[in-house]
Amino acid sequence: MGGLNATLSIGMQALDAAQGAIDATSNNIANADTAGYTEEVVQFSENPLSQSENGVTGGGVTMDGIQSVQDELLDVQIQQQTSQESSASTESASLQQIQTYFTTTGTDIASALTSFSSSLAALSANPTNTATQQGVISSGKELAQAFNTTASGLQSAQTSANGLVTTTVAQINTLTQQIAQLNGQVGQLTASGQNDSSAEDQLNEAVVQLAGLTGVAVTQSDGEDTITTGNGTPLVMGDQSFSLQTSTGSDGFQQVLDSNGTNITSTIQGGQLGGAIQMRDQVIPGMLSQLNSLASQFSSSFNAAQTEGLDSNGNQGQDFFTTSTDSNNAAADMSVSISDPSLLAINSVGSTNSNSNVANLSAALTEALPSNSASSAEGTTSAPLTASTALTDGSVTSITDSATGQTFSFTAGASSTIASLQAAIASAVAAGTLSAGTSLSFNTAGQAVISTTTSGDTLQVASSDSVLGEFSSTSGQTPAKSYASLVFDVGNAASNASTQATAIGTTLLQLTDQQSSISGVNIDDETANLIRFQTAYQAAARIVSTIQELNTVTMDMGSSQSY
Amino acid sequence: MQINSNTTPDLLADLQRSQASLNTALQEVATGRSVNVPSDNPAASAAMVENTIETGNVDQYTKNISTVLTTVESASSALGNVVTALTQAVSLGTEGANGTNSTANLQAMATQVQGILSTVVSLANTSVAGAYVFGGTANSTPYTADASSSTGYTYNGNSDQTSVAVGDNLSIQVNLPGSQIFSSSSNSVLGSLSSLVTALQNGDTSGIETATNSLSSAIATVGNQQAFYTNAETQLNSQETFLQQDTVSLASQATNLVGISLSTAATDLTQAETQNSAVLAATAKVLPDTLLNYLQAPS
Amino acid sequence: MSNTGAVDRDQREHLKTIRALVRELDRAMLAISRNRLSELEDSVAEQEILTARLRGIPGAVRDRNDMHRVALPIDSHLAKEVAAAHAELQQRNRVYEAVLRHSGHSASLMVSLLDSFRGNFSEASGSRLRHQTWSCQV
Repeated sequence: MGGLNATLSIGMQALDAAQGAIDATSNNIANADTAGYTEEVVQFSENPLSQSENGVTGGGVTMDGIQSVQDELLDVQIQQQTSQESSASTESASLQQIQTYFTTTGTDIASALTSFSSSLAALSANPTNTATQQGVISSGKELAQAFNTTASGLQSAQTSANGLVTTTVAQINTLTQQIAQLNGQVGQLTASGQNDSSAEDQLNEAVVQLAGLTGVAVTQSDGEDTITTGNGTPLVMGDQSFSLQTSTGSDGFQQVLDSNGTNITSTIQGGQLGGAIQMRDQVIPGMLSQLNSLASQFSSSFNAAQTEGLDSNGNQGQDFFTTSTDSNNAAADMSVSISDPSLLAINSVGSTNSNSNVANLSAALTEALPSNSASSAEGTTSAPLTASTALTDGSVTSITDSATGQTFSFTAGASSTIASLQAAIASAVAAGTLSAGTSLSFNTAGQAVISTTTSGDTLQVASSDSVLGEFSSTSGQTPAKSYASLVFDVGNAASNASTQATAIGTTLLQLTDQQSSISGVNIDDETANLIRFQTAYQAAARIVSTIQELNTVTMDMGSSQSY
Repeated sequence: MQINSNTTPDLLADLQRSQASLNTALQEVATGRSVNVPSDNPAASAAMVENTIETGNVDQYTKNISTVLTTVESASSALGNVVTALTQAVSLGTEGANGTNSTANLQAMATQVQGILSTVVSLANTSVAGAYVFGGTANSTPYTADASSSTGYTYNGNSDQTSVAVGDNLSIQVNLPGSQIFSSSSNSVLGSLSSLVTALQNGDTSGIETATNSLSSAIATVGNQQAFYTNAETQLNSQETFLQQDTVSLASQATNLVGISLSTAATDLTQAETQNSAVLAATAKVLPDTLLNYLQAPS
Repeated sequence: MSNTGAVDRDQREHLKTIRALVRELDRAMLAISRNRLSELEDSVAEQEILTARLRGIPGAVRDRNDMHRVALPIDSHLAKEVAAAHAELQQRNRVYEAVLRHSGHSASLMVSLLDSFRGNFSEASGSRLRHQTWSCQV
């Protein structure tokens, strides 16, 4: 590190030092109770010998600025940790609320799947009995209800997060105005050479508060604070503040804009705002997507089993479940479409009459969900589509622009992926067989969207049956396993957020303790102290690994099934 | 080193921690479970989803077996009795065909065979808890008297087979329709019996022989059909044993995943209460009274 | 079986050790939050002893089982308590790991800063000493 200004005269330094000491003492007395007040300690010490090419130069008495620089570092650490803690707490709170919908309460999906599954098994023992038939319909309704409730729980958590975005932006704007004002005060006092530690402390406190609302980067030069978001959007520069704005996006949620009107929503990280946006735009949509995918795949699978058989009236089985044409509401809108028990398709079609279509109905629960389902709805995916998602042979043969009727043919082969479909579309556009500006892209829910630059229409992708079908990635799991994965994801996310929030809370306490107590007298002692801490942390980290290993080792005891 | 005089944040943090522990301990005692929400143990929660569904299924499969087992046992037993009856008929027929019988003897034999026919019909109409065993899935009496029929009886059941789910992806067929056993076109038991009756009444020796031969092969056929039921019985019984073991291991898995022994929960609670009191006491010494009034003591 | 007594004793010891380790992790985190170095060092030393003890248990169990050629049964009630304590330990460990990570990062930054001060410099005069432009390699 290069030397800071090393050429001031000794005399000037001595005068300033004396003045500083007097000011610091009177500040101490007056401000003992103000939060964020840090005691200034004036230390007199010999200047360390300066070594330069020209030999050693001596120094005079000077204020030892180490403490204040350390405090600056602590300030930065506290800001960053405050942002992270706040973001984790926000997510944790949201996830705690969400996970109640995934807890076994009797009305949750797991309980409903259990009843539905049992009712089908009971049906197999007594297929023509009206009571067992009715049992299937009732438990089917409960299952649809459980999907509805869970979806609406996720959606309302999303709405809450959205509300938090609005209120947090308002809080941020109030705070940045305060900070700008304080900046101005401090700047004026500095220019006139006065001690301004109380205004500085207020300023620091306000910046920490701001960090709790959104991640910030703070730089100081010439006594001016410049505060931006982590991505560089200006919030405060000197005595000027820049307000954030919100506006309703196409998905109905509040977008965050900078003072120029540029959408910065996806760049915001940390703090309450970052946490709320993360939940609203990433975490919850991911969960909803899994849920919707399960709802629509399971409904299709069960309906297919119904249509394979004959009902008690001798007619082909009808759809049992209906789900929304809007794939984003597959779970929210799921319902049972039959109420007459005789419409259950218990009989299989064939020369030997048997009730073995009941086995097919049960199989919808015990077998892996099919990968591509033909339905008239736009698809959702259990895992978001990416360029490398495989298109199974024959699954897509034509794309029709519903607006213009224009058709584009594509033959999926053994190694087709969405990327190859994208490439084919690009070639077709280049060759003029598709409208210029047509592109295949993905929206936030991981659905394939075909759009043109003019209308931005979402085009439906036709399956090989010419039935408007869906892209769905291979689920390959039974409904139970699929739901269990979702429960794990929810629980794990909630646990991680809570762990983070707790842990960072602990380190914040440590940092605040460091800030409000004065550490070592000289650099060497203090460095030695910190290295002792580091050594202790390293030893502790080894123990953390050992404890993690114990997880698998304890299996040998036969006393637990650890996960 | 200056002593940090600002101890309030630490104490409040301690208090929050100990209150949280207390709440958890209370909940554990109340519910007897250490996993109440997925974040308590995400992997265990996920595993419990499948455990719960599987446990429900196993319960139902067990019920199914127990329902069906009675029916299958009854069917097997009925067919055993049918074989006995047919054997008797065959020995009567053999005797009747030997040409040494008087008309009166033959008439008496005819009456006996008629009796056997009635017995077989009532065996064909076996019911368990109001449901007919040999009627397919129909609810009406399988065989009723019908003068216009050559056998004297008409079949009112259907030919539906029932496969009962007794395991995931395991269904066992548990019935044979009566029409297949008693009145099949290739080898009608009832037909042969009533032919024998007629032949005996008419003293028609070759008719008696024909009918008796049919009945002999019918015995083998019914024997096979009885084997179907005893086989089903065996399968059901062994599946029942398997399900019993499954029930135990599912229950054990569930307890390992989410259960907590009550004594542990009680101990945790006592410790948490003690600690909470200690923290409250320490806090009381430092904080002014007014603030302390806002702190809720555990009830 | 006379040896079930020994098995249960071992399991109870096992349980005590796991619970003691959980308490030590809490003690360490509290020490960190209060910046008490000696307390942290004491706790880490205790943790080392306890984890060594826990690591040795499966071996002891195996040895005993080998002697008897069969896995000796464990009281199921006790087994459940061990499982619950173990789950709690793993949960606590995750928080502990995160605390160490964050605090360790801060300590590294501080050490780098102080290292850069061991060079030579003297400050500008003036009372706004709290705000200086500095940089250090981390």
